Amino acid sequence: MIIDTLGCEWGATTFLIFSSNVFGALVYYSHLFSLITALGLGIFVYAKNPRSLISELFLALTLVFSLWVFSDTVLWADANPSHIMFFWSLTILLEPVIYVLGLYFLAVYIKNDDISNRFKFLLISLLLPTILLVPTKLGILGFDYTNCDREVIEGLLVYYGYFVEVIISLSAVIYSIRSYQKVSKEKKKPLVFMSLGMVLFFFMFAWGNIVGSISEDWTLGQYGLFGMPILLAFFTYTIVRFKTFNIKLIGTQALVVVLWVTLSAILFVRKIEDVRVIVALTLILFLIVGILLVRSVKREVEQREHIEKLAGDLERANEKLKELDQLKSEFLSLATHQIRAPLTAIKGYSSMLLEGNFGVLPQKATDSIQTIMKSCQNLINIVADFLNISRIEQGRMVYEKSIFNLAELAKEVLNEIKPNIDKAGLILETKMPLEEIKVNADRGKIKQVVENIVDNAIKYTVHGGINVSVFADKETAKVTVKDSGVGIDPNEMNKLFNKFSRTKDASKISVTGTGLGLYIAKKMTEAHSGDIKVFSEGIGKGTTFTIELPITK
Amino acid sequence: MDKKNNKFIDLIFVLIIISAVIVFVRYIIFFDFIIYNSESSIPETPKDQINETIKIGL
Repeated sequence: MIIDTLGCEWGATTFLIFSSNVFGALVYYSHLFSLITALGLGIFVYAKNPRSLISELFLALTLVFSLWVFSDTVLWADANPSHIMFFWSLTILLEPVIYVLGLYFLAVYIKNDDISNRFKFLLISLLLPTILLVPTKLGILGFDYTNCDREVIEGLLVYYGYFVEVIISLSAVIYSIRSYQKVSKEKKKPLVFMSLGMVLFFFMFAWGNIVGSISEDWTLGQYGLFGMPILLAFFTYTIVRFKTFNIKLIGTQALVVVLWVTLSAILFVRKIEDVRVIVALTLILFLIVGILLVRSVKREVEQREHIEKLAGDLERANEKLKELDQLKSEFLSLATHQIRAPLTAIKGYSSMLLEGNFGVLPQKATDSIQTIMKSCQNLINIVADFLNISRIEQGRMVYEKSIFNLAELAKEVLNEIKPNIDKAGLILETKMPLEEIKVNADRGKIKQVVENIVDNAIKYTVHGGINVSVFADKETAKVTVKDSGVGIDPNEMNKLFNKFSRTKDASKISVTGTGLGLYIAKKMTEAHSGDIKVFSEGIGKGTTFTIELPITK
Repeated sequence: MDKKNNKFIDLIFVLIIISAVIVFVRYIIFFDFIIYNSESSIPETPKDQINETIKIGL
């Protein structure tokens, strides 16, 4: 202990902040508690989201605040005039920065985007006078050695700082209220919590500084520092409750850290009055954060239970659907088999009638029987489609593979289907290779696929023609069917190969389609390790289908 | 949202550091400030006195 010329007693200082000059442990409690919690949370949030602007801003805010708190602690502990001059200047310099960063943080949080350059220019303009003038006599006039307080004589710049603090605090209130009216319903609550935390921090911090400066009773001003833990409490709750920054459970972790800090602080407190203050403050803080956290955890648990129940229901429904699907396939298979037999009989007898096996029929009867034959054939085709689907879905489709010339198969299909093309008044163009293009596949099934694609081209082409070409590259044999028909809307392209799916324009032109042909064709081609591709420039611009199969050498 | 090369925070920190360095040089290295002492309210330049003050005070 040293006694100076004024008779003031001064203790030695360790690490600038620890000394017996600090007469109330509350000073350490309010300072170190705020410093550690702010810095800890700032670093934690930044480490979790290093690329996010909002977490970078939060880190900057907590860093500047912590530096301010450290400087202020030095002012309490250290008696060296030189140190006091420097750290007092730092507090004057950092105070408006805390406010500017706080407002910037709040604006980015509310907007969920960076602020405009105009706004940034305005904020930096507010800071510039302090940054430029702090080293001058406008910052600090000199060191007051007339009493034992060991304080500086503040210059006019300090009042400018208070002006900035008040302006920014009011701006934060106005900005928050205005934004509240504009944002969507689900964003209102997080906005209220974050704004309330920031505004409370702004006002408490400003109150502490202004009251301390004017009354020169800095002990009262200490309570202003608890604005930061309050902001952190709101901030943490917002993170947990509204999943800000996608950080979960941070609230519990932060609460545990705070508990360690506060308990450790009590160890260093000697006076029972100080212990009471610390315990009372900690209790209030824990009461608020604790209730909010318990509610949040409870809600989380309820949500999880609800989700688990839904998942169970979904699984059961899925099982049920699978069973139903199996039943449907079995029914379809059975029903179509049963239908096919009488259809074959109808077709057979109609054919015999037309061929005159039962005597010559009058012309009217012949026309009617032809209609019966045609309808019967359509029905047989549909039944065949259903049977194919149930076989594909049950995995019962049998493919009898053999090596054949794909070009030959295409020619065969075109020969069979040529009368239909002529009947529709379309022009057929073909381009066949001279050499053989061999594929190893089920000839019957691939024929069915080519027939289906060419048949579709005829159905959906009113004018113009159809171009069929067969060619091969190194590994793939291709059959391309290009028409000048109705084309396909790009938005409907993706559902073209779905079961029972028909495009709007297809339904207008051909009423007989079931929407199964392309689905079956695609499945059959895929079963041969091949594919069907489709291209259309849009409605009215024709369509090109390409059947691809692996080549066999 | 991503940072999008945000230079604004960097600018603030650079300005703070420059200002803090000037203040450090002035008050810590050169002890360049006025002392208002108990005997007279007239400010005195402390450069000669400050070392004495520190010696006496601490």
